[in-house]
Amino acid sequence: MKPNLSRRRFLGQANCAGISSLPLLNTLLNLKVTSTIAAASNTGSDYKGLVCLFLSGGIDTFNVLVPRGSAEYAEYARVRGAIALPNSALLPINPQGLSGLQLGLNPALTGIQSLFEAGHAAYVANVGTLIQPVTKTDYNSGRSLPLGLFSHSDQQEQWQTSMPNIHTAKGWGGRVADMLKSLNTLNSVSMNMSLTGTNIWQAGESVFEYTVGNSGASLNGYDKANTNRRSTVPIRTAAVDSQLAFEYQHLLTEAFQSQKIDALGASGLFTSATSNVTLPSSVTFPNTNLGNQFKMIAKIILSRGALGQNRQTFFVEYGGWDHHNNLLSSQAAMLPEVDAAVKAFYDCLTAASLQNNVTLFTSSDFARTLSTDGDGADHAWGGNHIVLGGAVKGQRVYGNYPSLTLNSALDVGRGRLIPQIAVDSYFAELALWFGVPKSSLSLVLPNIGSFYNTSSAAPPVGFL
Amino acid sequence: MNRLNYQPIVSAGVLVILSNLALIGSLLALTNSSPTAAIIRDTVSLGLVDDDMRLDWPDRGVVAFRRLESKGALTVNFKLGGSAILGRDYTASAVSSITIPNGYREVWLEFTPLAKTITIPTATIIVNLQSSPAYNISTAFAQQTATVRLGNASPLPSTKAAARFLLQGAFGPDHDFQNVQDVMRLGFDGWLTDQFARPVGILQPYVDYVASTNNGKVSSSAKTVSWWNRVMEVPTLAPSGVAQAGDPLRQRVGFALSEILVISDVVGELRNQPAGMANFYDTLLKGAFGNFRDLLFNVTTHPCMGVYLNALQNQKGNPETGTFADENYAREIMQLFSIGIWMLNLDGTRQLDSQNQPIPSYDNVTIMNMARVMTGFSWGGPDAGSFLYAKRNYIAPMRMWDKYHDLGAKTIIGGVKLPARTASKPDTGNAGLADVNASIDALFNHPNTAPFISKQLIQKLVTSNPSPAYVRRVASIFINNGKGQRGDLKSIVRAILLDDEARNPQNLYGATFGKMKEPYLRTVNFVRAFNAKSNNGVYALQNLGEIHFQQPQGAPSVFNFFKPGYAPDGPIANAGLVAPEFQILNSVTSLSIPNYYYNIMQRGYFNRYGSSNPDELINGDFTGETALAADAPALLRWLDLLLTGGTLPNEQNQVIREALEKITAANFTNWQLERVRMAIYLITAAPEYAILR
Repeated sequence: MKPNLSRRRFLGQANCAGISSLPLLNTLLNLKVTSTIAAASNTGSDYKGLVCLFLSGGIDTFNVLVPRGSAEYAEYARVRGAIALPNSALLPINPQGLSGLQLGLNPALTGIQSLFEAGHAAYVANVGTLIQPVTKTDYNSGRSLPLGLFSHSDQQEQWQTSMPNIHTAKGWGGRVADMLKSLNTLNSVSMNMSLTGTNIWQAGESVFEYTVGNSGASLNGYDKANTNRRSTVPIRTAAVDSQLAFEYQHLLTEAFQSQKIDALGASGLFTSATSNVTLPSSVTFPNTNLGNQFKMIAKIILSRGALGQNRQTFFVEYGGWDHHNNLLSSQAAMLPEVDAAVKAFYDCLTAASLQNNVTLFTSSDFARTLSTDGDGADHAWGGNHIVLGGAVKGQRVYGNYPSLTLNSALDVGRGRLIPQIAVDSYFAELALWFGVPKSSLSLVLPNIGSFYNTSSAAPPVGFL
Repeated sequence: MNRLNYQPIVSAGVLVILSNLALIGSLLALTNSSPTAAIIRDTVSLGLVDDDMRLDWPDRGVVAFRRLESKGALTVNFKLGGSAILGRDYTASAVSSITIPNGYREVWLEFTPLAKTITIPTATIIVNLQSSPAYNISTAFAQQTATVRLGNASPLPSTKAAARFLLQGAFGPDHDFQNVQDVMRLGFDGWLTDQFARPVGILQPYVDYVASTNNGKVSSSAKTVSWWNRVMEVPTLAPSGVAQAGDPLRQRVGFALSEILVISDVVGELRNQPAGMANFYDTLLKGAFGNFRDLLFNVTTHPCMGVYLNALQNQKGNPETGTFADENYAREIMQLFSIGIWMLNLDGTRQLDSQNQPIPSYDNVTIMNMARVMTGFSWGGPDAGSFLYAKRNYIAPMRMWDKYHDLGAKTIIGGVKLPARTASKPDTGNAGLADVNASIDALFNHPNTAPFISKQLIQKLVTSNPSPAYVRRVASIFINNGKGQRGDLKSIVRAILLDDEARNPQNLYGATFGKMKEPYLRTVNFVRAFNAKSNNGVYALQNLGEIHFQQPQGAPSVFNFFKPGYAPDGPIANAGLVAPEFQILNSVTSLSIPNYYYNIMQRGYFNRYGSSNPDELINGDFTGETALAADAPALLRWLDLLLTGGTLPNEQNQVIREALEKITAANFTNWQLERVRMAIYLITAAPEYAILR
């Protein structure tokens, strides 16, 4: 077959990982998010990193942050039945400004307990997807509800897009990057880096995620510096470059080609930048998948100078939280990996004096029903999430930790709680900290107006 | 028969016409030319890029005009000869001269067949390079002429048509080209009929065999090895096994089904149940040519599905203790395994309401009622015991217990009303099974199921963006196979692969037709293309998932490795199109996959980590290719046909050939082998290897 190929103008020009070389159409919003917005309000000389730890499957966060006062615990134990944690095992925390309610953490979270108590971490209670504030009456009449409530795919999508009213493949992290990428001196490697592959959160109009393996990536047998006449490397290198110079009209072929060009272009810079980094010797990352992923994030943060990046986002997905069965034992097996990795990450940032420059937040499809179906729980709605970092006003629980009584005003059935903090507010706080001007918040979070007056002096939630 | 002998590749030594007086003139001219002269006479040669044409297949024959330098435009003269007649049998992009533009080393003369029948079985087009004062003619390979074969139209497929068909419906051409010849001999329909009659190549016996040699212990990789043995058509998987013919079509369709009716053992207790996982896969293989209704029922009642999506030991809710039926399986059987979340038209497009909004297929109340249906299942088999206390049996279908099933009346999908039922005594589970059967029937007969499943199968086998008309044609066969049967997968598979949209070669030239071949299936193409095997006959090809972001039954979740609606950012998404497989193409896999092929070619074995046991090392057969390597164009023509179905563009062909011709005896001891390594690496690195059109 002989489709027409045309030469790319110049191979090197297209070597921008995650930055499409092709004209883009704004389909979602007429985003006039240009460098000028960001540049006007931010010098860009500071560094900020934003880490999204996505606990996919729907983590049961009412077994993560648990009431331990006698009356509230008794209600918790009654409602949760076989999946209730014993009160004696809960790790006590002492949030400031919380009167009456005593809370504890899942026994696996010793590291997070210490960070919380030291003021480096906070919880946001009963946060979830909303288009606008709704009541139980609204729910029963099906008014203004997020699409596909309680469905994994829909809710994972909405926790990444913050647009529960439509289906879109663009995430709010991508929109933030569209706006703030000009704060970087280089965008050869995308500022949005994923440790776990394709995701929606980091997909913007002009910035897409750059996927990083635990050990980086390079192309074998390809080396522009090799000039050995008795090696096939120079021949292969020249041939691969020539192959990648072809531009295709066939859309899938061209997309395949573009992805490889981006990957190859970025791998050179990325590999050289990260290979020269030494992590602080005082911290040992756990040798788990998540531990190694956070170790790689730390290396990338320490490579920010060589990468020319003042703003970076990181996406790490850790799945397997869909605990319809064996909820207690499964959480007991999985939470320690999260706790140890996050603790080592924070300690490493502290050792590098970067703890105030990086904020980590968790997300998940949804929380799980308070009622049980035996030894597990089902898909629900609002849940409790952690924000962590030196910039966080820690040792606090933001929002109202809800009553766990079934059929309460917030319970739409089986202990599925209507969120009292919208994901928009949660994300707005993070976006503002990251450098999005308040006046531009609605470009990143189109529904924010339903929950927060962007001309208000008060913060959306208050944790940063 | 080795393909290298099967159709003699036109090589200079065989088909060249030796009398060419121009040669003498050009040699003289060369000796007269001065290296410092402003105009250096360039040296020109012919090259055969694509010598395989057929009147009823639009693929063009191609002859390259090459020169050593690239300065200035150069017009080259030629004559056309041979038994085919210009204007009657074919057209040519030029008829007597062609100009190599300034800056180019190569241009292509292309021949397009004129569709009709000719009387000569195989006609030839011979290009004869003519001398000119403007250039010398190369003596290398005596390439003054090139011959293109022009075959007759036939109801039976051409070589390239057969190769393309196998890339869609199976695992691509084999090294001996026997499977391509089978398709050419039987025709598409005949090949399908033959495949439908093949015995089922199930996976579990091999897993059981490995367990039997190891005190019952077997790791999850055994099922992957078994999968490989089957897709490679190993006749016997265990020493005691009976040899049987391979069933590549069924294996291909079974794999597609495993990405729709998903279970996975990457996490959780199924990790330790390879026999059960293999048995589930066998359920898909056995059902691949059966009825979709039976398949949906068998998948629903399989214990591994019960474990994976929690239907197993799911009890009816108890208002007193505040427990509820688990909704997981109820949700996914509707969302993923049958009808999807939006109401569909027969052509797979979404129905819209008066406000132009899509219409949900069901609401949460339907899910909760469906969840009540999916209560009462526990472990099956001879030691079923009781609902709560039974021996774990990952093979036998789950047993229903009426006592734990919600017997109340329910309204389920499509408004179907299930009556209140009476528990059987003794408890046979018949009341609960009646609910399950009625629900499976309701899903099977739901108007969405035909387009929802048909479209996904088309996407898996042929093209990511089938036209609505294509979906409608297949969905109509789903509804009625012509004999009044609904859900006959044999007819559905036939309809998908024989549809004009799948077969029409004009789609090779469209801007959007086709799909990215799944990375894992590309490795099967590759292993088969070089007849790779180990001394012990076992395909120890486990642990490839990390490279390809994919492995059979190893999806990260019930949403598979990629979703059918995934669209990568940029032109594809902007055009409103999808490319599901691109969900696992990223900055890691864009490099790790070429590295995989590189490592194979440099190390010689296909196993991920090698093996301490030399009998386990899987090696490819590159002897024929190495023997052919001195003739780089001939090597390329063969590898192009073998690996891409002959779809490499002229420009890629030139890049690869020029790279090969830099590898000579002067600079490399094993120059023929190095050429083979380079050629295969660069073809697998080209997008044409990954994108199936």
